[in-house]
Amino acid sequence: MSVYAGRHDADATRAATWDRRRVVATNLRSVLGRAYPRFLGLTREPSWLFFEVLLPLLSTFAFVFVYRALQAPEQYVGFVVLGGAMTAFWSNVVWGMAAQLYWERDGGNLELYFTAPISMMSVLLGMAFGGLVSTSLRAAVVLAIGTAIFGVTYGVTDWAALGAVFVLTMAALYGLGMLLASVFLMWGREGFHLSQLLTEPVYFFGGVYAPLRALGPIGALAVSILPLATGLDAIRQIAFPGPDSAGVFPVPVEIGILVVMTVAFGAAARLSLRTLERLARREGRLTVRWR
Amino acid sequence: MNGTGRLPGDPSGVPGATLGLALRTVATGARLGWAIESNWSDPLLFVIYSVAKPVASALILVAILFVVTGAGDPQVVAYFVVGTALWNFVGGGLVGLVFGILDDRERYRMLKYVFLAPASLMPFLLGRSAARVVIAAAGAVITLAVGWLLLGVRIDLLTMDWPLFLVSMAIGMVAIGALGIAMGGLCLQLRQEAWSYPEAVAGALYLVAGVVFPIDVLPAALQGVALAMPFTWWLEGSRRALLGAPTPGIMAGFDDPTVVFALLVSTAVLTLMSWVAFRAFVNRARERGLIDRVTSS
Repeated sequence: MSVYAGRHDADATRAATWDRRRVVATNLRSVLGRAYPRFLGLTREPSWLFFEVLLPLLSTFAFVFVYRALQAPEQYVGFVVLGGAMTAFWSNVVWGMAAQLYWERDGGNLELYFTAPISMMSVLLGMAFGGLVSTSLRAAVVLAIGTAIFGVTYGVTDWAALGAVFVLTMAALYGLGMLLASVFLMWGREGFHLSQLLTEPVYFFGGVYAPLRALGPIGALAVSILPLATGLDAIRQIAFPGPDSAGVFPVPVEIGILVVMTVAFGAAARLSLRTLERLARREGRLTVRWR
Repeated sequence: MNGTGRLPGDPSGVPGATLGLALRTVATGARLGWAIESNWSDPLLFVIYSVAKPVASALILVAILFVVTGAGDPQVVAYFVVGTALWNFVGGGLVGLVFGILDDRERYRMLKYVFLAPASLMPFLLGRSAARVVIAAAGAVITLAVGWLLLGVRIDLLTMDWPLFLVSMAIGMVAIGALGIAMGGLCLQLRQEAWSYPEAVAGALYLVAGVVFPIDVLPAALQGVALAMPFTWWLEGSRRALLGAPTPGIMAGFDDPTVVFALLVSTAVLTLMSWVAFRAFVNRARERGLIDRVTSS
């Protein structure tokens, strides 16, 4: 007898009369299953080396030359290299998380996710986990090449704080990506254009290529709402100690902001996924394509 | 061959494939491109999406300038703003042409019908990308307006060198179109990564064309590359026309006629190479059945 037993229910997960252990195990497998193609993509499509390392490097090089043309202190070159590496994560959040469900719908996968007896949150977590691991490798390559070519020196003394800031930044960033994924699903093609809107403007407000304190109160606002800005500002303070690296807020305050962001974005992602799934079902948008 | 220099079965060889048909194809492609680009949103949102990127790019550079110098040197700010504004055309032109081909092959699956029609592919592609170029032009104008209003970049429309500007822009657009056509042909051969090519190429050109810093700061080998590219001369000619002064350093050593001549020659070479490459790529795509290939990208 099938566990579904011909019953009608709100979704496939509820229809499956599984015990808690099986539900958890299935969702964990879903996380790994959705992350798997992103791990595998590292070896299957070596073209990522060209596009996902070269592109951030080209932008980074351009801004390094801008600083050199302005005869800026060499420390700013380190700022740019660090910012260039972090753009790999932001690109992955925007294109690999936020826009992903929209593409999955166009490709026909989304309907399979919704009909499977798993939580959509496990699919999003899998996307985030796989994206984080593969993008970390890309960012490390960008950082290593930029550091070697431009001779950047770092002055990290508090490795624990650096690790904590990085982990919290990634948690908040990918939480935001999970939130945006469900929002973009509702917005369709507008979401695609929103992805483009979230590149250069975020690089400006996120202080990717120029320290945020130059933006004054706008920088403080950015640190309060953009995990990329908060994380980068804190990482720079730790990696380049000194008066030129003064951040918008002290590092402990920025760590606190990142903790709040992580919790808030995760909760908001769960809530918005439920709400927008309900709306999308009602309006018949889960299978509609090319809009 | 059928004596007309066309392959047997090439629909553009049918009687009636005239200049008029090519122009109608451009117009139809432009109408289609505009509908695809603009019909998903209301006009205000559309404008915001279209101009946010170039304006933010210019603001990043101005922020850098303020961080380093503590004040905005008006000449440097003008250099940043004009370079960023004009670079919109490169992004728009390349993306328009490449995405036009990829969208029609992968997404709408209409490319094979364009090949079957008596109209030629190239006029269709040029028309199809026109919408992106119009959006890029809007982004450029608004970036310059933001530069005027917020950053003190003064461009005197009455005294600026209009002939130099129009000539530089006209030849520059040909160069962008030529590169875009060649890339479109190349992307017919590729799979998933084809979508990233316009950004990759625009990024590489951004680095060496003197968009936001003089080419003097580049390593010597890259300076030679910069001087061989039409985009460097196009930016220089347009900048001189708008701002009334040459870029300090290497470019200041060339007078205006030399800049236009170098732009013309480099564009002619690029156009010829792109034309040959496009024909070769399209023929290869026909031979290998790539016209209607769907890669799920």
